[in-house]
Amino acid sequence: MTRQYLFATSPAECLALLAAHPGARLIAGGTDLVIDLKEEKRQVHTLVDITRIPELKIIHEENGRIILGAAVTHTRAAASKLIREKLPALAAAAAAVGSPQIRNAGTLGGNVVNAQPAADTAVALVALGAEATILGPEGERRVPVEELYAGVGRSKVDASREILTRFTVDLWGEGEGSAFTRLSPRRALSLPMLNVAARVQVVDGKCTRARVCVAPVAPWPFLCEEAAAVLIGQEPSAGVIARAAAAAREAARPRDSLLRGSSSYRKDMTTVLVTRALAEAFSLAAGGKSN
Amino acid sequence: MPDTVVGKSVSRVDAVAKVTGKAKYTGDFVMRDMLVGKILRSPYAHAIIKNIDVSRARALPGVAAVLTYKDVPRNRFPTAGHPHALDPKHRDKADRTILTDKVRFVGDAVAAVVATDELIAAEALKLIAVEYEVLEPLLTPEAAMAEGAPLIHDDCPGNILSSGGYEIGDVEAAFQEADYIFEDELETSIVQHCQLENHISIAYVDSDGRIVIITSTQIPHIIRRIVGQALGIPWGRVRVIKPCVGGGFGSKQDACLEPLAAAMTLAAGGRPVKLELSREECMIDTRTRHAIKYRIKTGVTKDGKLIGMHIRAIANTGAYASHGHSIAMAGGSKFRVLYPMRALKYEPYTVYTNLPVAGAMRGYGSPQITFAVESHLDNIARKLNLDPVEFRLKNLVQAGYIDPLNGNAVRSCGIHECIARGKGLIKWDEKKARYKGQTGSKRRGLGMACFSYGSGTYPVGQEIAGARIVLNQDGSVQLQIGATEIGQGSDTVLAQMAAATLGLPVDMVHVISTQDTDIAPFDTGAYASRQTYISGMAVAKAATEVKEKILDFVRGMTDIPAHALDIEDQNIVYKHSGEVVMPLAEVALQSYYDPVFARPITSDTSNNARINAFSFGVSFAEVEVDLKTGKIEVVEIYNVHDSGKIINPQLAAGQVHGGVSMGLGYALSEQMLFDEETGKPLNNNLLDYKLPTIMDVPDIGVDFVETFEPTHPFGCKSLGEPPTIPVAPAIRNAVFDATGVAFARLPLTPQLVFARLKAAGLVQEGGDGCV
Ligand SMILES: Cc1cc2nc3c(=O)[nH]c(=O)nc-3n(C[C@H](O)[C@H](O)[C@H](O)COP(=O)(O)OP(=O)(O)OC[C@H]3O[C@@H](n4cnc5c(N)ncnc54)[C@H](O)[C@@H]3O)c2cc1C
Repeated sequence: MTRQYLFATSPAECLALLAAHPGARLIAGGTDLVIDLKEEKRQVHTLVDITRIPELKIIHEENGRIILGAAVTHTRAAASKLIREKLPALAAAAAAVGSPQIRNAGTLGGNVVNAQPAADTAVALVALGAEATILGPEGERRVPVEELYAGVGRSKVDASREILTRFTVDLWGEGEGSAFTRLSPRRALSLPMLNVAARVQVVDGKCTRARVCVAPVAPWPFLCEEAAAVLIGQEPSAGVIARAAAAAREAARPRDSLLRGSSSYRKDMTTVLVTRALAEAFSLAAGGKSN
Repeated sequence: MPDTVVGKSVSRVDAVAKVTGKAKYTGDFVMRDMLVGKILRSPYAHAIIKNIDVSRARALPGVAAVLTYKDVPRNRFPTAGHPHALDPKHRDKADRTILTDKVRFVGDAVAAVVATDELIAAEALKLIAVEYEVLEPLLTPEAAMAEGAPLIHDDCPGNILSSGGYEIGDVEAAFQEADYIFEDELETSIVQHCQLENHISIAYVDSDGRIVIITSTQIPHIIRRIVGQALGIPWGRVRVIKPCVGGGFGSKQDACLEPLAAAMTLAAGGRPVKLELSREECMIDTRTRHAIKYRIKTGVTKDGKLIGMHIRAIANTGAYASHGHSIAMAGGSKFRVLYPMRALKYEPYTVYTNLPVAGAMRGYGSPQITFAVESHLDNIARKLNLDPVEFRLKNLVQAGYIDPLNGNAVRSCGIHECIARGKGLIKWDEKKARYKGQTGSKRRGLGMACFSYGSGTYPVGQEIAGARIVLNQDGSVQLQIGATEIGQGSDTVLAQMAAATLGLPVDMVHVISTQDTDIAPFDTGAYASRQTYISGMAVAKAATEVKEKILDFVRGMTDIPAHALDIEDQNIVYKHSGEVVMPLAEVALQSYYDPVFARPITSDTSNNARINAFSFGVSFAEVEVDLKTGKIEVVEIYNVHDSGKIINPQLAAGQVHGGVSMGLGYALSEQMLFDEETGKPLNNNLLDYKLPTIMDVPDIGVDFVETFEPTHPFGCKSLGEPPTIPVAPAIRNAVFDATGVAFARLPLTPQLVFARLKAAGLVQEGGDGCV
């Protein structure tokens, strides 16, 4: 049972508090962790709250990159003008999470470290090629978000001794666009049956870079290289998009779930959502407006 | 009768108390030395308890009592909120004991703990060791009815709780004469009420040794009887208090917690015990709405007249009887006046399974059968190439019709006008023409469905209602009613009726909202959409009696004959001229303090309403179906109701809004899911159970066709449950119209819709790049 609740004021202090209290774990918005504690899925003696650490809450642009603190809430990510303009896939994903209450509390870092395969902002961050900065007793490391997963609900970030401090997304410059689509049984308070984020860049009429992430079709956000490979070097068109979507469908391995949807339905929907995400991303890349 | 109050949208009498948080709900009662009760639940759907060891739990400091089936009375009792039947043959099935030695669904109560706080109670639950002999779980009616299936209740062969319906005319003969025969199979899902306030009871033993239960219930007087039966004590030794209630929709028309709460306080030396369910518990161990499967066969003539219908129904009632036996019958009788036909045969089977207990839920069997019949009718209309509206108009009831089985008469009948209005609101003809021959990946469609419903339960159930009115010294009145405000607004409309009769503004009617079985007049409670109609009759009767006494008192004061007097605007007036005789307040004061003739004016009235009235209505929906994903969007929806005279338009519209959104969830997203092998609930929480959020509910159009029902002093009929009844079939029919696919089950989830669209060849492979 949890006995102590402590506030860290800096990442270094957070590490010190974690080290000083055996059985301690870091908590951000608590929207996942508190449920785990209630259901006794985790035994945590001391909680170290990171939501009062100023540098974990930044959102800014610096030398061609966007920096997002790990404790940025979904509400802020969704509302930020910078994110909406430069990383629309992330803004849309953050806006899709839960409900206003959940978005006010839940954070990007928590969404990633909780390691659910279809966590909305994690899916967007993977498609955007975000890198996470993790500070631990051994020092700091930077890891692409898609490499943080060890299995369903298992992160390579150990929140009992490490802290994810920020995400860094390189801006690709001219001709880039990103989009997020999601299928859910209701408009709010609904975990996705399927979600897709895509980021593309078009230079001189050809797709030069592409990242497509689909979930939950694997134990973690699935970065679908097969779909990207179809796109690169091609002129964006309905036909190319359809082929990329077909490749994604082929590669996707969704599970059968009474609760979240059958495998066959989600496979079929992979085609639809990838098509829609890519169509929007390419439209943005061509200077269109985000919807 | 001056019509200044009835028919007006006066504010709810409890509005301010509720929005300021002053209204007291059960959970707001905090008592000294109050203990907390918690329930240990079965992990198995079907098992016998071989051994149960509570010694470690009892030894835990802070634990006041631990109860198993061995520690509580073993009386078998029914839980359904019905008036007690004097004839033992008509009583509800008594298949419950307070705690059980055989568990019948995942979540069934095995043991209970009473402790000083929640944490200790939760700890103690973990210390109870139970040994089960696990039996085969029977999760579908088919499995339960199969030869050789184990019995869920030993005294119930075949696991069939009830069967036996009715036949009007000769169905086989009608089929012989029919030009066409149509058959369909349709089914509904298990859903949950999801009322705001979870189930909660507080029980204690008072200084006279009586058991007092403060509880969130729709039926305080019935709870008194059921607790008496469960404990095997005289019913008068139980006192039930109903404070503000945060919704019930039928789940509190049942004794879910009270017998156990009473047993808990008895085990804890009479100390107050609070037993409050979490949402997760509430969703599995209170009540659900029956999933029902229908097979319908219908004979139709060339000119589109229905002449015979045979409906077979199999209702999954879950682990205990609750209302199961009467719901199949109620559904089968309330719908049948809508389309009177020469022959109608109804054959329901209500079957026990090892799933949570199905009971009363808004509509009481009607949402299910209306979904089935109204979907079936659209299937027929399409095959006959008839417009669904025209087809119904050929068959609809007219005023004057008398139900041949129960003798209830249709005296006011606005269904034709409801349909005409609904058609206009949704622009039926225009859009029907516009949506012909659509080709895109998003298809629009229009659908409609009608319903008929009763007002109360007569003649199946007794319809007794009580009201008490006291004229205060200042000319205001206290109104006390036996039936229960649970959020639907009954206190307000009943106050309006009293005010109208007595020539008072509504704020001069002080409603006592709490029902306390020691004090409140007898009334069976909030259910069957009965209050405005049935309890309203009692209120009108009491108010009329008070009025007569007032005028008689004035006669004593003035020698003006009572029949020449009336009360208007808080004044005694001459009936014909309206000239003021004296203020009502003066009469009131005199009635208390006249040295000789003082006789404070009151009425304590009961009304046994041996009558019923049919309400009608229709839902018109427009949908857009995304052929690529199977998602359905309800673009427009209108409900038009004939509930007789509308007493309070704003409250009535609110009732329709709530009912329609409940119907939308039923149509599109709600269903309780269970592991197909173990019967474990998969979504007994509000994240995974897809109750629509406000974002999912479109604007709802509401209209009323105000007939005047002659059996009621104010001309009203039922409106509580009806709005939810026609919604799901209207949406289903709209989807049918949009796609041509005859969907046969609820809910119409994207996955289900997509699978059927794909099978029908409506899904074009490959992307068109559209967003
Ligand atoms: C009702 C409801 C609806 C929801 N709907 C959605 C939804 O639609 N989509 C969706 O994706 N999610 C949803 N969620 C899940 C949840 O809100 C999100 O995953 C959220 O982003 C978690 O963030 P948090 O700050 O609350 O994490 P917490 O609960 O505080 O933490 C989660 C885990 O991450 C660790 N952690 C948190 N921050 C860090 C850090 N900076 N460094 C290291 N470890 C860290 C914690 O130790 C814990 O193990 C929902 C949750 C609820 C309760």
